Amino acid sequence: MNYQDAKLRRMLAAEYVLGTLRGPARRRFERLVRADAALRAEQHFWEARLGLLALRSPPVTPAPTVWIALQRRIQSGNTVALRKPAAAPPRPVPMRRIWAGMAVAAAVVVAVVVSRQGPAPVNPPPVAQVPAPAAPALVAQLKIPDSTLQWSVRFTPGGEMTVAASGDYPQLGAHSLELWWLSPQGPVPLGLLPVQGEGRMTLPREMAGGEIKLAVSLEPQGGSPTGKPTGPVLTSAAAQAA
Amino acid sequence: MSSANAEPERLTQLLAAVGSGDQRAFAQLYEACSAHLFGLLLRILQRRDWAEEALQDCFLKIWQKSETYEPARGAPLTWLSSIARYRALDLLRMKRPEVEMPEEGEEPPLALADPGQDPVDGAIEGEGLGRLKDCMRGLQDEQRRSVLLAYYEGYTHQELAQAMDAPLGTVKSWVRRGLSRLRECLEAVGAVPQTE
Repeated sequence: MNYQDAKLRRMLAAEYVLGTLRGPARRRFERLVRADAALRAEQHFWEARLGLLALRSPPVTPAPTVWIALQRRIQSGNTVALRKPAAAPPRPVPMRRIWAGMAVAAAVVVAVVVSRQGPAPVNPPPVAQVPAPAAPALVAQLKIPDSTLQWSVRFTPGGEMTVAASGDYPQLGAHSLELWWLSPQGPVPLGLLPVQGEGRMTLPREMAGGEIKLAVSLEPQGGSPTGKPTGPVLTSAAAQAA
Repeated sequence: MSSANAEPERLTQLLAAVGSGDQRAFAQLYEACSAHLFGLLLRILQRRDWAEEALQDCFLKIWQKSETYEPARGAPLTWLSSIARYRALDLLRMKRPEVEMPEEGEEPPLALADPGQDPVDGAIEGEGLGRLKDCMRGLQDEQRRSVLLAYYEGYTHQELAQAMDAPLGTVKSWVRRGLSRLRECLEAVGAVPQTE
């Protein structure tokens, strides 16, 4: 093809961006455009304009595993696969996080204990007593889209919350899943979610009363370093009467 | 529509931060744009697993090359859409023989006969989109339909001929005349690159 013909050059750039330029001609255009600023300008002209059509395409939220796999590819070049929970129960891992500097809920201690053996003894954190709500127990189901991983969250009258994980979970690499209370003032961290077994968290006092909305975000290992979500929000749900 | 449309400035800042290796900015960029790009990829690739693969490839490229973004290539989301589409077209080239054609009669999402119903109209990119829509309306029906099918479905000339039940040569000329007319119309508002 004669790449000196201005009209033809325009058309090739247009069809390249539109996508109808295929096969060897497409590869050839890609080679030529690198060294040809005018041709590149043509390409950019169409990208900036036809690309506006993309805004009309309905958005579809991808599965969280895509983000997790992407992170792993960036770090190691490997891909990730879903795996089942190990056959042998893992050693119980106590995880305790102290949320300092929280603007909303001051002096709240969140403790999460993961265990395969049901509720495990918890070192009682020094929290103030929350008045037992007269309302029936609240529950929430948090499900990660396009995976079987989900958590049943149950609020107990004593101001505590139990979290039971079920389903297959993605290898998280250097990541943790963090649970948030979406308070009227913004997200408040509740603790790291177990990917299997059951966990227990103490609720911030401010949480008593009103509608309770929860969200799960993907965070660096150990949780968000800022006290606010830093990774994508994978799922959210509102608590309802059991 | 997600907030990504309304925040090209924020996205530009995120892209700049990603270029300097800021992982948190990368996560925010992903959060803001992934659903848009995934929707686009699903439409072209028709398979969720391929679209997921393409979305990963696309963001990997953004992670590595975000510093190559320049405003001449459009607003950030527009540019990201180009990267996503190019990746999808490459994947189709490798995998297309397995792809089945979508059902006939499926229309592209751009309801051109319905001006004023566009949720993006009020956004910052609305002006450019409004102009594009005006120019699209100036095309003959077949020209417009072939351009939109090629854009949204990633069709080749052959696939367009099949979908539109017309000879290959006719379809090629619809696409080319459509693009020529579109360019003349878009040129009228300036910002045309210098050629030769």
